[in-house]
Amino acid sequence: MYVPSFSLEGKVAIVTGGKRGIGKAIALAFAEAGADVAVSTRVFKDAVDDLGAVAEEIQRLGRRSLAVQADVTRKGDVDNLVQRVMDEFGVIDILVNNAGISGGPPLIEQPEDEWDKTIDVDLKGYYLCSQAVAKGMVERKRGNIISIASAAGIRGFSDRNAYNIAKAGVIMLTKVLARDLGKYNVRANAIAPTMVKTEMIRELMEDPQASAAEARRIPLGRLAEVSDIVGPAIFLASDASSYITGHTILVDGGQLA
Amino acid sequence: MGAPTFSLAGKVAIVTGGKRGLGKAIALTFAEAGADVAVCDLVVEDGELEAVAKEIQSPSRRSLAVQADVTRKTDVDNLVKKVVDEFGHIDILVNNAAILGNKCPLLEFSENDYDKIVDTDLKGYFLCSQAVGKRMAEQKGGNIINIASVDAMRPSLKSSPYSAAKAGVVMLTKSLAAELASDNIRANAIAPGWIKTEMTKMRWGDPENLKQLEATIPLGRMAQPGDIAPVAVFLASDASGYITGTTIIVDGGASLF
Repeated sequence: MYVPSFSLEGKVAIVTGGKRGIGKAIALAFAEAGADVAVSTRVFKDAVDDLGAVAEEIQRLGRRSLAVQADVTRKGDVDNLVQRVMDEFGVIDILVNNAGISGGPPLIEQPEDEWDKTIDVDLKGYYLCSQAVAKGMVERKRGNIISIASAAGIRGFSDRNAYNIAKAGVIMLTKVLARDLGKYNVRANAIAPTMVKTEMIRELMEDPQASAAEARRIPLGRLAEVSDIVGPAIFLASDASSYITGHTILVDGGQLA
Repeated sequence: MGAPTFSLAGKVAIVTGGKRGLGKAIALTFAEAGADVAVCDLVVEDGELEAVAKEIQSPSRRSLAVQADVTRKTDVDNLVKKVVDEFGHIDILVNNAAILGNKCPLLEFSENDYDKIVDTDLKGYFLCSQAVGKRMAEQKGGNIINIASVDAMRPSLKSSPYSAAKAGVVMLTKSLAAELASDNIRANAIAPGWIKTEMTKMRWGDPENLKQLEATIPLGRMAQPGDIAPVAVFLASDASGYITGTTIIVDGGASLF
């Protein structure tokens, strides 16, 4: 039994960074919940992951899909992404800002170019995509923007200074979008996960002792799986959350409680 | 992987203050999502609580109506016993029974009125969480959802005991999450803004007042109980399995900035 108010039937979504990890899981789950889904990534195809394979998997679920190469830090790429999705589907109901990178090292050792890179992808990328997609949503008087933030944006992770700061920015970007766009029936919310078992924390996962120690710091006693992020994303994309905007949902196993 | 279904099939829920307004909406929506539901209320002589229980009942849904004053430990213990006798277990507790109390400047608030509001809105949640939490700890699983309010984050003028009690509920939620996670019990809160119910009629009864209020809400309208109930379904379902200790604000963006 699927509870009807959580359906995404007939909606069109874009998921940036849809090639693997959280983005891939959200794209596939949206398709299962009824949506047509466009996925984008900076590097279309590499040795292990292929964006085209994600698009094919979405089609096997009976939905339409589209795979687009886009560097979210480049306005030209973002505009092209939006154009391609509009040409193909005629509408964009949901944007999931997900494409992100991690960012160390400690603050005083960080070279300027690394700071720029992290802030560009993790904050400016979300800004550019939101702006480009929101223009059409405002015209259509409906839309829904979901940004993957991080618990790091509330209580910073150690040695991840630029990442922490970018994610805090995403939380405020979400509030700004919500307040400015509410009158056009466009909602904006964020999801703030703690550490999720993805490529981004591969080093930690490959060290059983360190990952066990990390899990012990979390009340629910385990690190998050990508599947833990999927439910909140569908909830925020669906009419079940129709009165929620500007909010950041913590998905952290109780870590910040 | 399989996307979540948000179903509550096979679960047993208690909703306090289930006679009307938000509590009634949550009880009925839980039943639609597959749960058996017990509702309780302070006053039952008017037959309204029994009517909600009847509305829930179907060949596939069980219900129970119990009179209980949530500020009295013996009433709460009796509620828990009756539900366990009838259904055998309790999976979900929704603490919802609350009063707004009279509007009065802080310096003038009488001790009696303060006690009445804080007893219902905070101690009532504590007593129910404790009694049901014990049962859930034995079962090694459970889910507590507390209806807080945006007044927990920002003071509501001339409602100081209500605001303070609701802020207490937010922290009670964190305490429950931190202490009970090891028993596989999650605890979260929902902080609604203005909902169109009997309790808030003084804010929307007059069309001019309503217009003024709605101008302060980015989404441009007051909430209906139906806007909040699906949020409770999300928190009650396995789709939110990694969320504990958090408070979801459901206010149409009214409390932004």
